[in-house]
Amino acid sequence: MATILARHKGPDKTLVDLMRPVTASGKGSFFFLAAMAALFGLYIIVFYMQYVYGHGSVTDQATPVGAAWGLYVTGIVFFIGISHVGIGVSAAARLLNLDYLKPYARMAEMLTLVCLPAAVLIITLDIGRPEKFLINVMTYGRIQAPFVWSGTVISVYLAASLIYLYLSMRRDITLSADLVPEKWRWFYRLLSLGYKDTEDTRHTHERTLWWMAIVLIPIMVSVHSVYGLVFGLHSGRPGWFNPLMAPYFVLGALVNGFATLVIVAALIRRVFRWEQYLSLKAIRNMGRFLCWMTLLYIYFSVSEYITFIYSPPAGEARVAHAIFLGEFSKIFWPTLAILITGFLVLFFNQTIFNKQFALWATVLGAVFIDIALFLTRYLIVVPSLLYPLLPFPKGSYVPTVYEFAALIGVFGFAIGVYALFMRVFPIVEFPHPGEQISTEANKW
Amino acid sequence: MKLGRRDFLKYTIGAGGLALLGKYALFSRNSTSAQASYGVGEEPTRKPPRKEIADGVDTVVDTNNKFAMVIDVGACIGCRMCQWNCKAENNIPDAIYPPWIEVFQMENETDMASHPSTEELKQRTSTSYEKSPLEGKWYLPVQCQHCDNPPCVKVCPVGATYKDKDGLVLMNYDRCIGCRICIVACPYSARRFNWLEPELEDGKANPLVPVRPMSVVEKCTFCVHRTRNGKLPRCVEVCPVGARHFGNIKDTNSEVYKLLKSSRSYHLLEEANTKPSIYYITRGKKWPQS
Ligand code: SF4
Ligand code: SF4
Repeated sequence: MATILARHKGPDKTLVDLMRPVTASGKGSFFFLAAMAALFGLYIIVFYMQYVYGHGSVTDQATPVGAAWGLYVTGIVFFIGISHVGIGVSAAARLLNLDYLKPYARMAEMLTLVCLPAAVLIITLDIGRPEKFLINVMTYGRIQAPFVWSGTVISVYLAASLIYLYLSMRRDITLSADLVPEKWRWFYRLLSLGYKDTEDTRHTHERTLWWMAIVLIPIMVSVHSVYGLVFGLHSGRPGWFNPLMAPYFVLGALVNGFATLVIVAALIRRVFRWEQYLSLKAIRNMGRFLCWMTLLYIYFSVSEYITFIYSPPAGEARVAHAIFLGEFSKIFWPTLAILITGFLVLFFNQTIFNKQFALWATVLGAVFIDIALFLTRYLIVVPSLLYPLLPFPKGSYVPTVYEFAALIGVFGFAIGVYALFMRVFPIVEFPHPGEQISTEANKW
Repeated sequence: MKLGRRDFLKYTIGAGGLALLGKYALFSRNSTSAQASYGVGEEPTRKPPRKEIADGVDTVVDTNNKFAMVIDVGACIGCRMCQWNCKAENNIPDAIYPPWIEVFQMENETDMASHPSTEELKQRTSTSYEKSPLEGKWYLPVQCQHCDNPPCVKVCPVGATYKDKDGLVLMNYDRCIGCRICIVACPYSARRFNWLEPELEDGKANPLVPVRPMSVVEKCTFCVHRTRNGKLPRCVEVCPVGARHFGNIKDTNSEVYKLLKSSRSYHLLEEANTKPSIYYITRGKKWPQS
């Protein structure tokens, strides 16, 4: 297997290979990016319509008869969830010395860096007066409010992740300068901010990153805890008032994030034929982690359902009935089935039939889990809002095509920015001198 | 776009306000007896449209006051006069339905002497009844309870909704960013949202009440523009059977204080621990049998 040369004199074959997405001539990528931009256009259109004519003319949200939050909030929770994987993987690689995860760290970090802004885009879409959003929160923000907590933790997480990504990338940016066409060199030289690739600098960067990883982990946990609390703190909403909410959301986020990373990693590995750099072992281990986390998630869910069904107060009983037997049952049971199928696929693939481990099966399981997670969030947000405590007439909520369009637009944004990043920077960290990359590529 | 919205507002308040100045005289029925009961008597001063769009901008908070309302569900005949007069008084656009007050028609078996179970409330109520009062039914008016422990105020990220010293929970519409977490937090579903650009009938607006812009939350203010100036809330004033009572609960001579001393009262959804300022009592039927 490819062992990396000890010194980088002249472009190394590995580095050239890892720079392929950047150096490729890429008509295809241009069209891809254009398509994503077009999708994002959907978001802009919906945003504009909503801004001019009001949420009422675009979405199906309503109050007090109906749901005051809907698909948008589901999307926010989903994207914030994925954003967890970034620091999750880098920290595991750095703090636990899991070297085989290292080539995946940047992919994960980048997931964080596209998903957080994507979530912010949906937040901006969801609130009624985006033009006042930032100014009013800055001027009048109340530290007692869950939304201010979330704003604070998200911005800290975003800023810290950016710094983290930059520090972990500085060396690669410097090295990239020699690998890209002449006319782009200045860009990489400028961005590297005078980095000198020596034993010493590498060491200081590693130390800093190690400490940052330690600091970032609690921030990461807090981000989704806060989102759990946004729901869990309302005693007046049947189905939400629940101490499990914060850990439940953090766990959901981990599951969500790792599932997405597995999908993205497998895709990148396949598209660029990087089988020798991106070891199967890492994907398999992430899949295994995902498998057990999903089981834990199912356990959390079931314990919530039991509380929900056994002897619920009247308000909860109505929501529970709607979810398990009533109008939401046609979403709930399929969701549960998809989630369990996803788990079982992973379970058999990663543990029982370990020897015949198949990458496609892991990816399939991850896709199932991601879909189930999205639907679960929808089932957390909407039913509780449709069943208020006082006897209002029954409302309904069906997301409109505009709401879906806006959400698809945000997906376009996220995928587009991710692809753009790959077009500019190496998505797999260059191996350090003397380091071996993927010695165990396809066996374990 | 921002400009367009502002302009619309300016014109609505301005033109609508002027047109209504005359008509407003109709609304301000004299209520000196009520003034005496909580002792802050002064006619409301009519000022030109204000710059800040917020509840109670031109009013003064009297810290000796703690406003409370007592609703006698035994007397209420479900005529919904309060609901519709409130709508006119407070410039509530048609797009907001139900308006700030909702009146539920209930079956007799769900007696209010005990706590009505939500389950029963759900199964045996209607908000779309056409005739009232009916034998075997009773009526439950609900609006913002002006909680002393208001979950809506706790969660607002910008303090757009706040608890004032005289017990009112009010809105500063300029601050509201439309995140709707307060709507989600209110156990009584008392808060409404301007999902669409609010349009008033014929552009008529009560000049004493701000016309809200699109995408902000609004709800009952206990008619802050009236009550802080010694008048009764509109709903109390128009109730034909006197089912609603209002006043300063700190004042031992006030009607509400005496009512609460002399009758059994309860709060709606007491378990939500919101400590509402609206008390419900049941004193038996008063209306003429049909
Ligand atoms: S009833 Fe609802 S809106 Fe009114 S103060 Fe209480 S929580 Fe707030
Ligand atoms: S919708 Fe307005 S009043 Fe309600 S919590 Fe958000 S900013 Fe505050």
